[in-house]
Amino acid sequence: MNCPLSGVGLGFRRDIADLLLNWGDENKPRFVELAPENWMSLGGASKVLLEKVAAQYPITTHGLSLSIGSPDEIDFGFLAQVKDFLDRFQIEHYTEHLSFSQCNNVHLYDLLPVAFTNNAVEHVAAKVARVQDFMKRELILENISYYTNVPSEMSELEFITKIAEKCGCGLLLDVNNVYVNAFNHSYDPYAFLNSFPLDKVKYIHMAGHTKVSEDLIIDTHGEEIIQPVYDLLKFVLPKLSRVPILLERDFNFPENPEDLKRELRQLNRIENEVIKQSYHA
Amino acid sequence: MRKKLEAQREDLEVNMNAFFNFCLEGKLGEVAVQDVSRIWNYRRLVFTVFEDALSTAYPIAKSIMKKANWIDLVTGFMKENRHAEKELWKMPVELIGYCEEFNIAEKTDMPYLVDLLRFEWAETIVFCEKDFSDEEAERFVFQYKEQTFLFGPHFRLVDSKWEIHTGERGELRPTFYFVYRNADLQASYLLVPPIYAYVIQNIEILFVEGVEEFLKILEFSTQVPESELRKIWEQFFSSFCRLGIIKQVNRIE
Repeated sequence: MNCPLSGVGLGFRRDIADLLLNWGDENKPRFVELAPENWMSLGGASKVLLEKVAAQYPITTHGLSLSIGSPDEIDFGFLAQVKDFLDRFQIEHYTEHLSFSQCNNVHLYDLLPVAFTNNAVEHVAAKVARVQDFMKRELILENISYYTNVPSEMSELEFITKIAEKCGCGLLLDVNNVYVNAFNHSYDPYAFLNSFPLDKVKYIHMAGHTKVSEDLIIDTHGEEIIQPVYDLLKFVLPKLSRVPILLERDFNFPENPEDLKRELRQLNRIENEVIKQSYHA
Repeated sequence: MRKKLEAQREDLEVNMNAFFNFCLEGKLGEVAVQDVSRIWNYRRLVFTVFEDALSTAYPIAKSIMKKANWIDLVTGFMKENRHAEKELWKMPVELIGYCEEFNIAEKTDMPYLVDLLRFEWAETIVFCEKDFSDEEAERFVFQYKEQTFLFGPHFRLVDSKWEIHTGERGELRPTFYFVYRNADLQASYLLVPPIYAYVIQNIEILFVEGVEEFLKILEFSTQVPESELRKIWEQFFSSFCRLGIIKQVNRIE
């Protein structure tokens, strides 16, 4: 396997392929992240592009289709393809979402929240164990954003904590999702982060979002990161061991690449400050 | 333990199915959420995912179709189709079967619709499909004039009752499209005459039997005289070589 990732990376999308391939040395992303489903079965120009990017950057992946919370059985044929892809690019972790996107073998291509119930914890735990066993690597699950409350026996925080304890998996802390959920469901994001099982966090996502009404934010990955989300990162980062940070941007890319570079610089600055502080401490 | 897991699964299924189906069908039914107004955001988000993937795969069909019909097509497809493809980029192929089953061509007054979708999907698939391994590409190799050639191998033949590639409403005119991955790895197409289409439809015989046997079989099935067929083959061979669709190889590259 490659050395574990570190530093600040950038989500790889075709729209920014040229930018990534001609970045230069200054403040270059330390790694790129992509969805394995969007690349693993492609040949031709897409494969060539991926190989060019992989020659310049360490790659990590963030899956979309595992559907770990789904009542459906695990699709081991699909997992085998993902495993091949991860092996090929020597990717250490399998990161995915704590969500479901499949029911009765029908696919939705979007992430729905799992009910915060004890049954769901048991069910997800059983599936995580089988996935990790098959993939021969740790599964890292992301706290997703959700816009409506689902049938629950516990809070989101309790649910994630139980999952992390019971499943033996790592967590991907999406700081923007914490902000989005806290806003949409009226809780304190700082209190949430204080109680979050931070010892399980292996990776951080940062992104922008879109406020669609006075009381609702949608996690679009189509805008710049806002200051309150940077503030949450500054708050949580010193509480973590050193983990890689990813800037996610899926669409509505800025016309001026400098805008994207500025966001990366800001994330690097925050990370460096935290490293400096911990060194002096 | 197994029974317990089974019971948990059933419980989860009840809770999740309604939510899941709502996203595809837009009917609230048994959905158990506290804030009904917000659940519509999921419906909108899922619609956007589907619409975006279908627009990317079928830009010509979308550009020709009336906007309201396109929206109806996407929502109908979301609701009625069992979306079996796990990878999003492959999902649009299922629209073709849906349009056939629900006779969308007639409903949208686009009798050429299914042929157009097949043509556009052929472009997507030759562009995207996985590169063949050397072993797989061996199936597309043939010997001719003591040399070895590779045909394609990323291509599709679309047999259309309509001329549909112009970006305008289809004309009722039988047309054969040879869609292939070109040297720049982009999808290209050729309008080919029916005899070329027939050659391509039967091209596997060439790979198995060789050129001479292939021409004999074509002569038998088409009743075109052997000398005429040989001329056609030579023209086909040289034009496909010129376009890089047939390449001389020493070994499979």
